[in-house]
This record gives sequence, structure tokens and C-alpha cells, in this order.
Amino acid sequence: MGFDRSARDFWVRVTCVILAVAGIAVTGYLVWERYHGNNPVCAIGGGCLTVQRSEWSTVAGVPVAILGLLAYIGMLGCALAPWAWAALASLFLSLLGVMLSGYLTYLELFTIHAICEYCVTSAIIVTVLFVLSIVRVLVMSPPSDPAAA
Amino acid sequence: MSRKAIIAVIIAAIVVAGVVIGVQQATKSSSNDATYAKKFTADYPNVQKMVAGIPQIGQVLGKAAAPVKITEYMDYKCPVCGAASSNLVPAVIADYVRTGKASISLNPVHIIQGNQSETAALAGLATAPQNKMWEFTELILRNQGSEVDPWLTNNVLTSAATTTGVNINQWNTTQNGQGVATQFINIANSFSSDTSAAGDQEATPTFVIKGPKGTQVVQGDVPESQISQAITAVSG
Repeated sequence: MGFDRSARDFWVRVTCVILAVAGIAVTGYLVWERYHGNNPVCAIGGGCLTVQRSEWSTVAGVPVAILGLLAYIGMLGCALAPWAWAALASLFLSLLGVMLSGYLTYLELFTIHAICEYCVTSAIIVTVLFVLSIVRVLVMSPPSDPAAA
Repeated sequence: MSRKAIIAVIIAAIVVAGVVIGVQQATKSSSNDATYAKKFTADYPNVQKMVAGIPQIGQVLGKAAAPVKITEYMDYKCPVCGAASSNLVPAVIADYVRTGKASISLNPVHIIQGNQSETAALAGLATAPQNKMWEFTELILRNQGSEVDPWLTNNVLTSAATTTGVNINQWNTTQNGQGVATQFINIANSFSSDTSAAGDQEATPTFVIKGPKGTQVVQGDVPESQISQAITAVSG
């Protein structure tokens, strides 16, 4: 595990590390607020508490914020690992995150009628991570051999 | 990295996302309903204590001969009604209804966006023939969820009705009948005329206080002193 500056995916992985840490901070804050019973500081819109307390804020009793936190920790691990399987795992986690974030954003807009800025921030982070994961997979894939065609 | 592996990862992510969304959909209703059932069971003794020993006939709590009649217009999902239910109404009941100075009637209206307020209003009115409307209503108002969440499901309404001990078959028949629908429309019309006569907006809770000397309208989760002043003003 480490960073080889000469590797083709070096900057992609460094950016993924930074974004995963940002995602951990955002979801970690939401988890902390949930278990301390506080009202999340919500500068824009004021819907954080509404979203956090809605019936869509859990999956089988597990808070969505915890699932997000675990996913970001997984993505951080994938970004730190230089191997091909880590690139695939990162693609898996980030794609899963994009789909679930999209679903939750839809619920916020059309069902809950409240916007949680932390959820939106997380959705943006995971979308960028997904794009970077695609780039990483493409960079790590060997160029196709014209002779084989 | 093989193309097959990439495609397998994408398919796996789609499948897992579908499973997560499916699990959430399947568990959210049951967990919501179970949460309210527990709250109702825990809170019911407090509600019973508030109305114990006071005559309750239909929507009205208090003696029929009480000189002052208070009409409360409320919405089951209105947060201010929930606050008034915890703060103001118990004090009014203790000081004026229990003492026979006033009676108070519950009149559910539909103010909050969505159709759950209306469904709850019909369900609430359907408990009146069994003289359990006050217990049913207070249980829901005191344990409200957010006004923007669809927490007030049919199962939650049934749970509240069951907790109060109403005959569920009879209650179901009543709430699906034309009688409560007509009653609900009549209440909406009275709400409109009572508030406009007082020059007020249609907001909940609204307390219309009628006595020998006239009518006063008080709106919101106000201090009990405002209700006291209104009762004094209309009393003979």
C-alpha cells in the first residue's frame, strides 16, 4: 500500500483520498449529530433535521449516515491501495453511492420536501469519486492490442 | 483490467443499490408504525388522566350545561396544534372544563399539505360516536412527527384507535361512511365562517369561545391567560 509518484493513477488516487476524507467528515458529522440528539447546523434551507428524522433516514434501522460513513471509509481504503482490485472496489462503492445518493436526493426534493445540505455535499463528493474511479480503472487497464483485433 | 470484471462490478453495484432501496421501502413503514404504537401505549395513561372523570359525548368534553362553549379547530399534523395539545389544552381542561365552567369540542380540519390530515380527521370523527375522540386526538397530537413527513399512516391511526380501546370494526365502518364526510365538510364551513367573522385567517389551532356575552377567537399555542381573558369576556 502506498503512492508511487510515477504511477499513472497517482493524482487520481490522491484526489480520491482527499474526497474520501471529506466524505468521512460530512457523514461523520451527521452520525455524531444523530447520536447526540442535536440539530445539525444547516445554513442553507434548514431541512437537515427534517431529513435526518424522516422515515427514509434509515435502512432496516441502520442510519443512512452510518452506511455513507462506512462507504467513504471503504473508498479511502481503495484509494490508498494501489492494486487493480482496489480500483474495481472503488468503482463499485462509488457507483453504489451515486445511485443511492440520487435516490435520496429525489426523496428530499419530491417526498420529504426538505433539503439537507450535508446530503447534497455528500452526493457531489461521491459523484466526483465515481468519475475518478472510472478514470482510474481506464488508466489501469492495458491499452488494447491492435494486433489482437 | 478485464472488461468482464468492470461490467460485473457495475452490475453488482446496481443489484446492491436495488436491494438497499427495496429493504428501505420494506422496513420504513413497519418501523414507523411500530414506533408510534410504542409511543401511544406509553402516553395513553397521561391522556386518560387528563380526561378522567369528565363527561365526554361525541366531540365534546365537559358538562353539557357549561355556560361557555369552546370550539377547537385543529389539524392532526399541525405542529402548533401539537404544541397546544401539550401546553395549553391540558391547562384549559384542568381549570375550566373539569370545573364545569366550560366545555370544549374537537373539530378537525385540513390545513397541512397532503391528504393525511383529512384521513386523520375522518378517523378522529369516527371515534366520536364511541366517546373516545379526545383520547385518540390527544395521543396523535402529543406524539406528532414532522408535518412534512407522511408518518400519519392508516396503520398509525389504527394503532391510536386500538390504544384507546375503540371497537375497530365499528370505527372502520363509521370512518368510511357518509356521516363523517358530511360532518367534516360542515366543520370546514364553520371554521371558515368563524374565522372570517372574527377577521382572522384560517389557522390552527383556533379556539372559538362562546358565552352569554358573545364570542371571542383565540389562535395559536397561546398562554392560558389569553384563553382565561376570553372566557371572562364572554361569561355572564
